Amino acid sequence: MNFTGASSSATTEIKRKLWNGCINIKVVLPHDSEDIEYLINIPRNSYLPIHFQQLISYFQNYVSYEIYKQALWFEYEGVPIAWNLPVGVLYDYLYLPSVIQERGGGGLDQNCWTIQLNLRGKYPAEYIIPFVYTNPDNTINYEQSLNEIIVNQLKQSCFVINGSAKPIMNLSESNSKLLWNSIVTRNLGQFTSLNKKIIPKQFQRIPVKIYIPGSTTVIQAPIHAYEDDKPVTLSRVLQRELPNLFTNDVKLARTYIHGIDISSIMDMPLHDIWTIFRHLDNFLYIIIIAMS
Amino acid sequence: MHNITNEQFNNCITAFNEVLVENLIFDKEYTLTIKNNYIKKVNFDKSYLFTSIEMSKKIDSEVIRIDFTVSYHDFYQVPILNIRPYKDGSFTALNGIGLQIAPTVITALTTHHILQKTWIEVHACETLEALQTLPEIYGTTVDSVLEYLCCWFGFYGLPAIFPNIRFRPHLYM
Repeated sequence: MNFTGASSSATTEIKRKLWNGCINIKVVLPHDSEDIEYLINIPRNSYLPIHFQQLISYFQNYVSYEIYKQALWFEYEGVPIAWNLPVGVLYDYLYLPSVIQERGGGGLDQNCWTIQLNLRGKYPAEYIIPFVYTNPDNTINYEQSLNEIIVNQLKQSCFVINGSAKPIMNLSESNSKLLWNSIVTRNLGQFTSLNKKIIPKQFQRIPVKIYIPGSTTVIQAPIHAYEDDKPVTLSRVLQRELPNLFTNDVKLARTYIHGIDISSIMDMPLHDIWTIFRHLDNFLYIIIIAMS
Repeated sequence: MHNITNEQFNNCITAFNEVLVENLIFDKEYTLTIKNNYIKKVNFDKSYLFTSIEMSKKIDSEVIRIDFTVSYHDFYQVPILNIRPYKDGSFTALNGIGLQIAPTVITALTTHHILQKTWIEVHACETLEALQTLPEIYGTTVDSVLEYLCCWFGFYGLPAIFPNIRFRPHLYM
């Protein structure tokens, strides 16, 4: 993929494709002696709790207890899955390394990520954020917890971009609701128009999060868009943050954003990459997969 | 007050920890004991202070445990407090341990930015601006970063959540 010098219509087309990018997920509920499976197609920039209602409606047909009243949580290879990250980031962080390793081997379903749904047993609150809000009928209010998380993420990225969280904190109540609604209902036009109120033309810094599968460390990097009047490139950022993996001559890892190997655009200005590839919380999520 | 950097935080965290351990007290009917306290350096030039405190009631055997970390948040460019209250050995909600909570403090359940596990975090989006309005105390021999950290902890640390926990270091004596 190379969009250096791309026209604005080409950029719009890339953004549209990223917005529509999806992951196939097979949700497996162990039940009695057999597994119950549900196939779901989730947008990369969406969040698992947005799709819980759909899962609850399906799995409730197979179990006698009330699913609505207990918190859903998922695991992959024994690891609880953090619902507060975009689904595409979870896939790239937890599953993509196996897909790349197995490519051509045929031992892994490369088109579908299988995760396990847990309904009973202790919710691993120390590892993944618990859902603490309930509705008047005692069912779990997933949306309120997700809203709280995303608003906090937006405040954080807004702070990095503007040097202050005021632009988002000063949004009117109706605009805040519309922004949230545009995320849940996936209304690109409405989201773009409201998000513009948070993002200024002049940047302080660019909010970047770098994940390294196999490591629990996440690099939170607020990056200045320019250094010595020159735009900072993604290569430069990675050489500085991960000097053991990225040097001028040797690259011991591959870089993925939205599941795409972006090796060919590493020398583009980071600001341009952020503009196109940022997630709904305005963070640029980068996954670094070490080459074996 | 001037802002501090991650490097300055790392350089001063040991000195701050000494002040913290000596000056953290609970002013009501509990006795505060520090059960665990260390500073850990992790990848990418990050470090954090971990402390586990127990407060036992003087009149009965009730014990409250609170774990907390102090670390430098690269996005907010300020120190940040994360806490975990425990009841009967299990991680619980802030209001689940029976201590008075300051009505003005804003906290949220979140993924700890270093430990990547669930912790409660004091919101930091206004900390930078608020600390900039505080005057520096000139003419003392106190390290300005240490002064900053002590000041921050008073406003956004444990005493900001639990008014009965006091931190009044004798820095300038």
